[in-house]
Amino acid sequence: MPSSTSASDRAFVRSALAAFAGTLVLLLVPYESLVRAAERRWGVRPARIAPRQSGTPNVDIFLEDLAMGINYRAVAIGTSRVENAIRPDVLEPVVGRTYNLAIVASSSIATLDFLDSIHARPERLIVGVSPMDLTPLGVRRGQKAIARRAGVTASSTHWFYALLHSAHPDRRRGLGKWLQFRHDRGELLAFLNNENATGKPDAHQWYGYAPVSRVIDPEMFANGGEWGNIPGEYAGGREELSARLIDLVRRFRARGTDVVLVRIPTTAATRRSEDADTTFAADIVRIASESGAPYVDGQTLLGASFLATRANFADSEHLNDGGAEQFSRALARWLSGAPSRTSAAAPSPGTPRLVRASSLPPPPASLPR
Amino acid sequence: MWFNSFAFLGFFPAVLVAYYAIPGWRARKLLLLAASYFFYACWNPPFVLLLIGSSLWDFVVGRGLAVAREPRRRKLLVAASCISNFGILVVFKYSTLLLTTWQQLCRAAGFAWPSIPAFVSHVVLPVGISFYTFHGVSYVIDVYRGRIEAERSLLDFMLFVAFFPQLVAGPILRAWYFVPQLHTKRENLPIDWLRGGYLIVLGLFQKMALADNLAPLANLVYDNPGRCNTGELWLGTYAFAFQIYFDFAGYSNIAIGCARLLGFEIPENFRMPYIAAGFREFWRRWHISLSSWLRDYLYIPLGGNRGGTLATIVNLLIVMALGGLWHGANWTFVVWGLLHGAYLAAEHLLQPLLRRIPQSIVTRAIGAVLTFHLTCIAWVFFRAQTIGAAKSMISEMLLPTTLHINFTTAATPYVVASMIALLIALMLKGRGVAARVPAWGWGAMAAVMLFVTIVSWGDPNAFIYFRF
Repeated sequence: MPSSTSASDRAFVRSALAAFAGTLVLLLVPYESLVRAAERRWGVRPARIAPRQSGTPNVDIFLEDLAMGINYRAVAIGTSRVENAIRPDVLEPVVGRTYNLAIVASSSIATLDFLDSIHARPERLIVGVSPMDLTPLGVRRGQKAIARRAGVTASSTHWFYALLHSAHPDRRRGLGKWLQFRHDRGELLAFLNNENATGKPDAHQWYGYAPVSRVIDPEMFANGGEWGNIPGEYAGGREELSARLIDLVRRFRARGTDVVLVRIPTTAATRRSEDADTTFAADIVRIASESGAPYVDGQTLLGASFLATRANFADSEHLNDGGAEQFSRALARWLSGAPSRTSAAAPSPGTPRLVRASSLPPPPASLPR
Repeated sequence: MWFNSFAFLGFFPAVLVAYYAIPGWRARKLLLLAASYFFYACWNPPFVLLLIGSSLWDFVVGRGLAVAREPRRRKLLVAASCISNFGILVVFKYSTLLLTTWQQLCRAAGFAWPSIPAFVSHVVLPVGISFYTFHGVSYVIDVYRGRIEAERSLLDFMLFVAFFPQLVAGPILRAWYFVPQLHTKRENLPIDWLRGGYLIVLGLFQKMALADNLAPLANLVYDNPGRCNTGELWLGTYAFAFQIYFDFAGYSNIAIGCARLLGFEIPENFRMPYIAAGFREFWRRWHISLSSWLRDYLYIPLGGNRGGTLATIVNLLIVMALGGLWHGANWTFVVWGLLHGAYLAAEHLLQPLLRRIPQSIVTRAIGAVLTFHLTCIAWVFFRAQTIGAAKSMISEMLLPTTLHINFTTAATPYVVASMIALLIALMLKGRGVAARVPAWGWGAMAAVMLFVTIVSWGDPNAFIYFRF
């Protein structure tokens, strides 16, 4: 900065300060507006779109959101089948703010225990059921994943960050990130909300939902995949775990939560194996009946043409993003017609009620890709 | 408390408001002293006592010099100050290194030497000890030489040593420069506020937006040097060269800016060192307060360049080796210093030849590029964990295998941007561009830097020079 004589000091200072303030306002106000717009679209926490560094980042985000005072009206739980199949953005217009709290390869029993322990009371619980739910292995895996993650608490939000959202550590966008954004040709608001939003979809979770873009190969589609030791585990734990699941569902229902049991569609070959090697098909109907929760089978919900289309599946057990969108829309339609917890009658197990798509509210803007 | 922490964001404005709210000059100085000790205590409260004790001792020695007339007694007083100050440094900073080295030497010579007591390795290095001990030594020597009078005011002397903007990482202040400023009430003109604010913004930008974004790349390479090829090692070393510059220059600018807002002048510590075409020029631009300290209190007393070529070279090597050791208790720093000493010695020897080269922008650019790359090679010793690791890296860097970069990090563009900025600075050097920038240009630049700092700050790291 050049030295100034005292005569020109005041003019110099005035001019510099005016330029400083003007430029800062010109830069910061539009940038901050964009950041706030991104937050309006996806939420305050940029971690809503989280890179999948482990099997359970969605538990972290869920806990942080609770700590921030964000309450989800609906929560979907289950295994990776649920993680890849239930899109919160599609369900949201029907059931309200939704979070996909699926945990890979774990039993819903572990997640229900966890929700119970943190006194979470969503209005609706979508329990994605599968044979894994009634295996001791699934319960152990779930407990382990939750125990590792449940210690994470929400970071405190500093007043400075509240004042300037663009200054929050999660909003930092260095030169390298901007170049990457340009390279990825991403969407600006999504990028400002989460730097990972414009990368490969497969590496992200959105509200706990993990999109998968790949399509199953024809051979696996026809023959199904490896089934492992699940039938043995199932046989060993089925009795005890069925009782626990019934008890947990009853407890949530008694506290006013609408619980829906949903069997996520898999390829026809996988379903055949599951039905042949376990008694799950009969067991889940019994569980639904004894717990009082409605049950909907995804296969029935979507129909034969969906199941016959290879492009809907990522592998023998999981739907890909396209399949997930169709399934979530069908589930949303079914849920919009399902009775609430105050209603006396529950739909018959396995007989989902369909409503006309035109009667649904318009879907929200699609999530960043 | 770091300058780039939220704690400092609360601390400094509070001190500033209280400082200007107090009418009396003595009361203001008391406030600054209390704030300085609080600032230091935020790191480790008990070590404030060491700082106070060291300052008191140097004040007493200074007063002793003021009354002592006998040369032998005066020399004893100076020796007492040097022994106490450097003794503190040796105990807290170099004890582990010296004992380990002694043990290794004994083993190599076939003597048994007992293992080093565990408590030695647990000695905590007090933050800023290398800086405030140098303050004390320079003060006592200046009094001894008659350059300044011994300070009469204990408050002024304690504040000179502990003045918080420069307490933990410099610039290294001289008593003749700073203490007189404490004798009269400081008043700021509007332009001083502007300059101070600009320097703080510039320093934050250098530290948070540049150095902290370069750090991951330097760390990536220096944490896994064995896995990197020639291109990756050079990239990581460039990243570190710019990181350490922006980090330390950033700290110095914030320190100078804070002092400016309080009404004090602190001399500049960096003048774009990487545009230097030669090592003498480099050391007139890099960490100026340390290089001038070493020159005044070590190089010149050793004889400087007055004893012929050989003596000059030996002096350069001694001074730079000790300058390297000042940075940390590791032989890698000594090698770094020796390498710079060798560069300076080579330049000294080649002076007659270099003088004949016509000065032009091309020769200057070649000189700057050469100096920068030789500096980078020296940085490898500074940053590497061991001398062995540094040697392997340098052999890989100088005997290229492949220049292909196999990794991409968000930090890489910062290296490229820094290189481009360096080239622009080289081209604009000496053209008086800064003087031609209008007032609104300075204001707009500061706003852009603050904006970039807010939206793109890197992972917060402690200032590198805090550990020295």
